[in-house]
Amino acid sequence: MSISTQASFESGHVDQIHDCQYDYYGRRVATCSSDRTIKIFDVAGESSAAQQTLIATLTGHDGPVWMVAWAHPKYGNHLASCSFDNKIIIWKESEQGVFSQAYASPTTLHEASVNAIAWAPHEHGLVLAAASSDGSASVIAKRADGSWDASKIPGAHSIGCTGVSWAPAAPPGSLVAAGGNAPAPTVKRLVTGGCDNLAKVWRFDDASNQWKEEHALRAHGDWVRDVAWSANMGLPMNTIATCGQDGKVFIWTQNEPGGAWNHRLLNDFGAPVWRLSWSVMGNVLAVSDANNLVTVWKESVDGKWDQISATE
Amino acid sequence: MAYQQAYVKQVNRCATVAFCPTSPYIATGTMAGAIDLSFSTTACLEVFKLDYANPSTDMPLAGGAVAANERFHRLVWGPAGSDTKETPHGIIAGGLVDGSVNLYNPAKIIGSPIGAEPSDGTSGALITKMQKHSGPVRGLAFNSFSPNLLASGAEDGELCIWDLVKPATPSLYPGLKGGAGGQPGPGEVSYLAWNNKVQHILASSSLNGTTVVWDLKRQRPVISFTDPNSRRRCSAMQWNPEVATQLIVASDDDRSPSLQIWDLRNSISPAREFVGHSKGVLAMAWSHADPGMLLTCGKDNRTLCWDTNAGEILAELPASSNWNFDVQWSCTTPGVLSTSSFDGRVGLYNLQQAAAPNAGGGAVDQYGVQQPGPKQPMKKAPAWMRRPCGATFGFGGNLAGFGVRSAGAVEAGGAEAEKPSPTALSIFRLHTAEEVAVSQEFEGAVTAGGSDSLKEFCETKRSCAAKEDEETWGFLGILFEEDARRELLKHLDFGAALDAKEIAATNAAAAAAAAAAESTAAATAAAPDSAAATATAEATPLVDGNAFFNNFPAPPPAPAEPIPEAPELVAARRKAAAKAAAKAAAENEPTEILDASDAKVQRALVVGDYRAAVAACVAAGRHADALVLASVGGAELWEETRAAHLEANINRPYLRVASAVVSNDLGELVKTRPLAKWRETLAILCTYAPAEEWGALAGVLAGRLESAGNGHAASLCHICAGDVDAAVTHWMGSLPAGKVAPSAIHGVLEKAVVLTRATGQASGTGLSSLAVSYAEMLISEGQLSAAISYLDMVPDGGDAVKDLRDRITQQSAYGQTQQSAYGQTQQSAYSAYDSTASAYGGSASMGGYGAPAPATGAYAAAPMMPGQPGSAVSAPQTTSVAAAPSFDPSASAPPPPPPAAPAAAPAVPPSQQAYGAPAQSATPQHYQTAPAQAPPQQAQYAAAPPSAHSAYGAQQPQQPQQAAYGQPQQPGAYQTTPPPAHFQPSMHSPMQPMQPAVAAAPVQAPAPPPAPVMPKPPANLSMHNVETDKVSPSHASIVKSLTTLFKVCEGAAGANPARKKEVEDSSKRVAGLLWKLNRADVSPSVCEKLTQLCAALDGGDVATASQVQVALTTHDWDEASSWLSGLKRLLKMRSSIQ
Repeated sequence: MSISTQASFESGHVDQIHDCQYDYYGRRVATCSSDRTIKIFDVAGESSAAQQTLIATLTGHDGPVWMVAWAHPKYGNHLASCSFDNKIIIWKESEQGVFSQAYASPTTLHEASVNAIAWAPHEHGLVLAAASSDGSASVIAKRADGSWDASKIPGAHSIGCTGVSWAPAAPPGSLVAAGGNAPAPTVKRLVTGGCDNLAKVWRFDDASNQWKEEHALRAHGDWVRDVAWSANMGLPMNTIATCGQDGKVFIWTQNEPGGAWNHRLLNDFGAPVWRLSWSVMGNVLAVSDANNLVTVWKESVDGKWDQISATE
Repeated sequence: MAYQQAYVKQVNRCATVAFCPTSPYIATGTMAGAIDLSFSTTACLEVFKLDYANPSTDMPLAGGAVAANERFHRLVWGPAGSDTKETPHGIIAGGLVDGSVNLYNPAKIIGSPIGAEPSDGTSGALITKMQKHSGPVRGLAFNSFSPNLLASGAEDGELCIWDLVKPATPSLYPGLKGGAGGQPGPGEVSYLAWNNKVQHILASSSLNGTTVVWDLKRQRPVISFTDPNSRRRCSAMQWNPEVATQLIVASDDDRSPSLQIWDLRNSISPAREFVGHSKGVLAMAWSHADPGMLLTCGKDNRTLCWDTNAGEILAELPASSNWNFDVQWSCTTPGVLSTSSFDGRVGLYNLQQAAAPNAGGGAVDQYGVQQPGPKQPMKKAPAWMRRPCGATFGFGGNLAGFGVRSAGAVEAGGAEAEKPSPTALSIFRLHTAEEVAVSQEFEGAVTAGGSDSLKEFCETKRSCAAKEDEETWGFLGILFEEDARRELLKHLDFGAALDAKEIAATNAAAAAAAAAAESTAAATAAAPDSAAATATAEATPLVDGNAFFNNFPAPPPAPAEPIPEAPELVAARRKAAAKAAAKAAAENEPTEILDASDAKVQRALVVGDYRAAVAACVAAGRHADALVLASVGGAELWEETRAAHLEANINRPYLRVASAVVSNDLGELVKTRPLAKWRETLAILCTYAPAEEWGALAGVLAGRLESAGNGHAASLCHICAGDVDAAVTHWMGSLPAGKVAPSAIHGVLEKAVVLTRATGQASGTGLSSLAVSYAEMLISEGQLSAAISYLDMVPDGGDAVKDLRDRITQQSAYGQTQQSAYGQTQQSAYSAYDSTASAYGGSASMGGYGAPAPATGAYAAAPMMPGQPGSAVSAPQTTSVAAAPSFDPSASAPPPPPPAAPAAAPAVPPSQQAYGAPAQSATPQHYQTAPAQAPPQQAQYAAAPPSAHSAYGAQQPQQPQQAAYGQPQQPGAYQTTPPPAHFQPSMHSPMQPMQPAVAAAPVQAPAPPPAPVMPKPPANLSMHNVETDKVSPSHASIVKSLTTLFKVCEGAAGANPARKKEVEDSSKRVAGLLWKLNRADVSPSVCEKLTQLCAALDGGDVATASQVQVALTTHDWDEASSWLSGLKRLLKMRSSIQ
């Protein structure tokens, strides 16, 4: 396996970029930056034929924008962004290339920088989770009548909450059972990472209408910078990757629902690791660290993780 | 609420602190110069543990306190590096009031028992006391480059440099004295700090206002300076962590509380001053995590965080009741800072809790107290929150990254290699080599579709497969044979028997004749012989009628034998017996010896009472004779006798078989036969089971085998039964648990698809979920086209397949150059097809379009590409059939498609938007290969388009024209060979999934996916630089008028920036239109309207022009959207100018 560079271009941002995300179809990329704007590019096409055109620039944040996330297109084209200005904004594309704010979180929702956002699997509806430096996480959902409902998970992590990621909606194991069974009811679960060196798995308890902490994943020696729950490809295990300021990336696996989480060190990168990204099908992990290096890792059949060599 | 949560941690000590550079600890030493409520004068050093995971604000002690004889002025914790075995946590150095510098070993403190009284440190916690100074030691600092070096400064400005290689016996370097060169000597040192960039430089601030920079190597001061305006006391100084020549000095003099930044290159006056405190500043801390952040605390009871680049206050911590005299950043955890306050508390804050300075007041609560307003965010985000680098995956195996360096550059240049541009974005692609090769053969065979190719494929697989698989493939291969059953028998090792049977059939007559010529004994022997001739070579002694019955009851025959053909056998035997009997009778003429039973039989026979005769024979035990007589005595009697006989002898396996065959109850047989002989059973079924029961019976057998644990055999039976789902379940189950290698899934998929093809069934859920997961694997490798072909193998696989396919086609709808089987034909087909889409309201015939038209379609189609698949496909469908005959590829020489023609995915445009874009994919192929396929789809699409179109008001019956246009641009010119039939299956799938998708998917009217045009105008297009040389003469007028319009507007906009921007944007858009005209990419109807519009414009009739523009908006929005708004704006401006 190898990685090759397809294209590299200047985004037009005037300050450091902090996130880039592909949309559902892999056709557009949204970037956000310390210059408080979000830019959306069309990057479809392969290698030489590919052109990158700027479709839109979105302004509205009062501080550096930390993360962007595209929702599933079945609800229309929504893009969420979170920023140092304590706000989460959800943008909607009304017509080709024109985005407008569909929702901006109230100032009472978060009292400090919102560091990370993640859309829930589309089976849960149009639902967004956010992690903030005020130590709490929040979940924003669009109600059937079109209005938005925001609720908080207070005190998720002390000092601050840095990352959030949802579990896939499909219950694990659906590939092996090749039958026509009715799908099991989906459970809402998510994982958050924080400045208390922990990652926590939360489950939504329908009875009490609250998020309850299921597990605390303890292995990092310093802030957890990012958490990522991988798609499970129908196999009966859950996998979460966490990375931290201590330069390490851990892979956590839970082999049956409700069971214990075991962790394994993927690698010690020697520099704070900032970002993790699972491939769409969930078997390859991209790791980005403070040395400006991106490495891609794939699990071999015997459970070890091998780095895919990077090419120019 | 904000105030209560202000502290992350706190402890009630009036102390100066030092963070541990490596581990989560903090040391506190009782502060000199402050008396607590009990007026005690004790002093001690304590170490606390920091556990941020614990939400409590209390800090637990890490070990017992260590007493000190005097109080501390300064505490510093030696950085990592001075760690040795003895001092794994470094060394704590404290400057005391009495001039001594104490060294402590935190390793001895941590974990020591916590007693009520502080220990005296003799246990090793106190390493040594260095008594060199005579006054309070306020300056103390470890060198970060050489952690063994400790500098201390006290009264009279003399610095001591200690070497702590052996902490117990520190050695002293020659002291640094100031006062040389006529400079006033530095006074009492208030703060000491080593330079962060240069190892041998340190600076000291003093209470007489002089700041001195020392060079250790030269053992003398380098620079010294004071504030030119006032000789103020300097209380603290800090070096800039990034710039080696900058430092900041603060004064605790209330008359000049500003902070001064000095750059040593100019030591005459400060480079900058930060004004903010209203009274003297007591302490400062410059963050190493973010060199733009500086903390200060002062006598105005404020603790501020400064942005050193801008010189502004970023944030202010909540005020406490007394001054903070010390503020420090945590070494390990960014964003955490400590403050020591005279009100006896050390508190740790999270910087994020600090509010921006001008937070407005909030609401007044029920007590009339104004609550703090909503927190304003800080103007600048700290560096430790700014993500420098990241990469995320996208659908299709792409990776988008920012701030990424290539690995090669890093290796070449080391860590200091050029930093990547922080504003650049990179796209990467992952490659796997392995997966594709395996599948090409497979895809080829499947898409070729014929049973021959599939059979061949099975053959190839079989020859290179492992044992179990070999069998499986063999079975699969058989299913494609014409005479499957026969082949199956052969496969089950009954081939020889089969052959023999056939031979025997022809020989039966001969054999019987031969037998007739022999004696009775010979005849009876011959019966087995002829019977043997019908059995296999390895026949065990077949039961010969007479011999058997005479030896009744006989031992059970040997098992596992090929089954003789019972009816034929019986018939042959009967014949032989009859002949023999006749012969015997003939030979034994005339004497007839009859015993009693014989007589009975004879008598009955004579009168024709067969029933009695049979009964008599049976009674006499002459079963063979009984059967013979029964056969003569009518069908009913025969059946009765036969049944009775069979029943009586049911224990013989072959008779069981025969009985089952006779009574047509194979099910029972299947249920009861021993499993070990499943092949035999299968063969029996093969031979005897009627077609409609074959599947069910094989299924029953498979079920039994499965529950008995013989999964493989069961799967073979499933194959024979044609039960795809069951077979898939078995194959999937036999894969190793856990993460499965793609090649294993591929293997299963191959078998499943082949089986589905063989049985002609619709794909079951098992197969479709398998296909989906394999396609997903391919997608993550970026093999989108391969993924599509796999999905096409299960065209009716349900929603998952459809969704995935849609997703792929969406991704590649814009310019994915073809690698797939769809290849060139489709590419050209699409470009050709695209041109069709432009036919709005134009009833122009195909022939009517010259060069521009086909190309225009290409552009026109682009905005419609995300359009509704339904309408898309339907359009061509309806007229394709009619059109097909009348157009041959050579009809009008289509111009070569624009080079970057919509390479267009093979796929149907996404199901989302009702742009009415034709589905380029299917139609051309349909025209070429199977026009007949068009009609079926027609009906379904008829429903779809109206709903789609209504959303955009494009009411034109686009279909006829679109289809019509499709024709001339047929790939005829591009491709000589029409795509082979293999497109058929693939074509089907886009059709079918689309239709339901269209019907089902809500028309996302409000949110169309953006549809970038393919090809797109160059990025920096504007009216000034657009090329218009290739525009056809009829459109030249359009170009001219639009250019004029633009110039007028540009002139009118003048310098007004907002207007200018508007004009620029409009310029870009209209230039896009011109660019398209240049490439002949605009549809005829639009051109018509444009001509009208421009005519009106030229005539100065802006109103009409606007009307035409409105008409364009109404009817041609799909095509014209990108430039129409620009045009509109220009028209508006123009009308406002007049």
